[in-house]
Amino acid sequence: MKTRVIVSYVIALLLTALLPILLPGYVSYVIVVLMYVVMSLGWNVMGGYLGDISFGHAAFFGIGAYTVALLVNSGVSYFAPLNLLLGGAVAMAVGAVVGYPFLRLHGFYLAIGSLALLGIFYSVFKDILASFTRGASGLMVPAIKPYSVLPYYYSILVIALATVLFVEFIVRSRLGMAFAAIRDDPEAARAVGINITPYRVLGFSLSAFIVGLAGAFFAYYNNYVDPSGAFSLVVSFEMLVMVYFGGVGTVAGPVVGSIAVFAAEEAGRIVLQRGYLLVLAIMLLTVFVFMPGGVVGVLTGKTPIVNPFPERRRKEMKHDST
Amino acid sequence: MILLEGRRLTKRFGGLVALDNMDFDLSEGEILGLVGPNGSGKTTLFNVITGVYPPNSGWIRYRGEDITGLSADRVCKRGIARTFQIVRPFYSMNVLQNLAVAGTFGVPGRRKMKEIEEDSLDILKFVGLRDKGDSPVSSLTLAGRRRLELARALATVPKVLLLDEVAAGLNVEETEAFIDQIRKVRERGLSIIVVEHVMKLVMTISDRIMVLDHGKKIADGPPERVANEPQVIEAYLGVQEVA
Repeated sequence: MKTRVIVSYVIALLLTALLPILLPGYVSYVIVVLMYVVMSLGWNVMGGYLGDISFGHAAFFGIGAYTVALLVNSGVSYFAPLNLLLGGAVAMAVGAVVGYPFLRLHGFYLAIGSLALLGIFYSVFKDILASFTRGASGLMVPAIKPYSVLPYYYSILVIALATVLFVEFIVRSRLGMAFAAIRDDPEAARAVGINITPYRVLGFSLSAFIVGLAGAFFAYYNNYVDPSGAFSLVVSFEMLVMVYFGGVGTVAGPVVGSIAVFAAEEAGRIVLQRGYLLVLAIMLLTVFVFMPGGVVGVLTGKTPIVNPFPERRRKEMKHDST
Repeated sequence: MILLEGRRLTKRFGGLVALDNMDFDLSEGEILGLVGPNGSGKTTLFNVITGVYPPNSGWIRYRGEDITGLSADRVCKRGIARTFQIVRPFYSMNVLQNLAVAGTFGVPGRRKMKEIEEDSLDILKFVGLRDKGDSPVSSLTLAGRRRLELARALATVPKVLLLDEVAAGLNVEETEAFIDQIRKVRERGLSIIVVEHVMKLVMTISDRIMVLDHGKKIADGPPERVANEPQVIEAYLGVQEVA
């Protein structure tokens, strides 16, 4: 990495670490932003690097959240860091199991199928497992006593930081090369020796793990989990807007996007109250039409090539060359 | 010595018989030209050999081992590489990275990244893209992209190379240059099957030519002889213009 990048990382880290001293009034906002950072980075592993666009990632957010809520409510293991990891791990396991059949889908079908996936988990947690989850009434997760916001803040800061490093690591590894090749052209990827299904399942599971971790944190921080809040299309939509607004297929993009989406939501709530989602919709459309590379794309002058539909691009290429 | 052989290969798509009981073989160090009108089964044969889809019946052996129905990634790792008729580079990567992916995943076992990079640079030099390593794929001309296809296939260190219409859309000089290039590839000890519409290319470089029509083999032999067979002229040369 370039020195400039490292220096800016260090400065950002110092500022966030010292935030409770510098700007104590903003800590609870930054907690949400950091949770968004984790979620969107997780979504981006699959949507940005593998090119598999999912509208159903809230399923993993919900699974992570419910894992924590159920663990806490059943009295099993009240060691928070372990519960957080378990939230991610359960989401990952579900991702791996669901992944094999689900990832037979590609492109449009995968995107639409992911909505069904979300619907399934919503029903499972709301109705089918209602005797454990208390259905629509949800589960409480008691706050720590004596209450302080700082443990929450530093937990999510550590998680967010670890996620950034983890994703950076993936992108620079052989795994990241395989992901990019599969995203660019699955058939060509196969032809150069990449067995694509295991990689896609792995990407899906890692993505689920990270989003599940964010969900697990959410359960603690929100003190309450219910099916419509956890398995929410809004959560899926937020991840999408954060990633595309910031810059899909980059590490900085979701971070920038998380800040932007949080700010937009807060502003939107003031102006439009419950209609605040309108702001996100406008952000998404603006980005698609005017800056497909997102904020990071505008700053670096590059449009990340993330086309979930290689079939379509191939046809376009054919026209170019003949 | 026969390196790659297929027997009684049949591939159906619904009612269409794309390959009909086809036999073929490829000797070590040979360049085999595969010609035939559109829809005669050339690309289907490539896809069946490289594991894009399995044949409905028949078998393929490579160095005496059965490889029928192996998945594409495994076929590649065994040492059979291909190029695509319509170029299919990895667009988000630069030229060198395209080769690095192939060198990383297309070769059995784990190699050091440094070694992969050096090999990739050698191959780029070999195909005449020496200075293009850091360039994005989109900066290459069509001829350049075809060279990249070839280079990426070579980066998987194959013994057999399947070239699907490498000269389509190239001008006369570019085609001549590609003919030289293919010869140089053979000098490295590779055996090659060339699918081509550009007759000049096939006739000049092939040791042997196999003519397909409606999924069947209608001729097989040295170029001069095959070109004069009435059945071939009728099916192919008589109908299509010779470029």
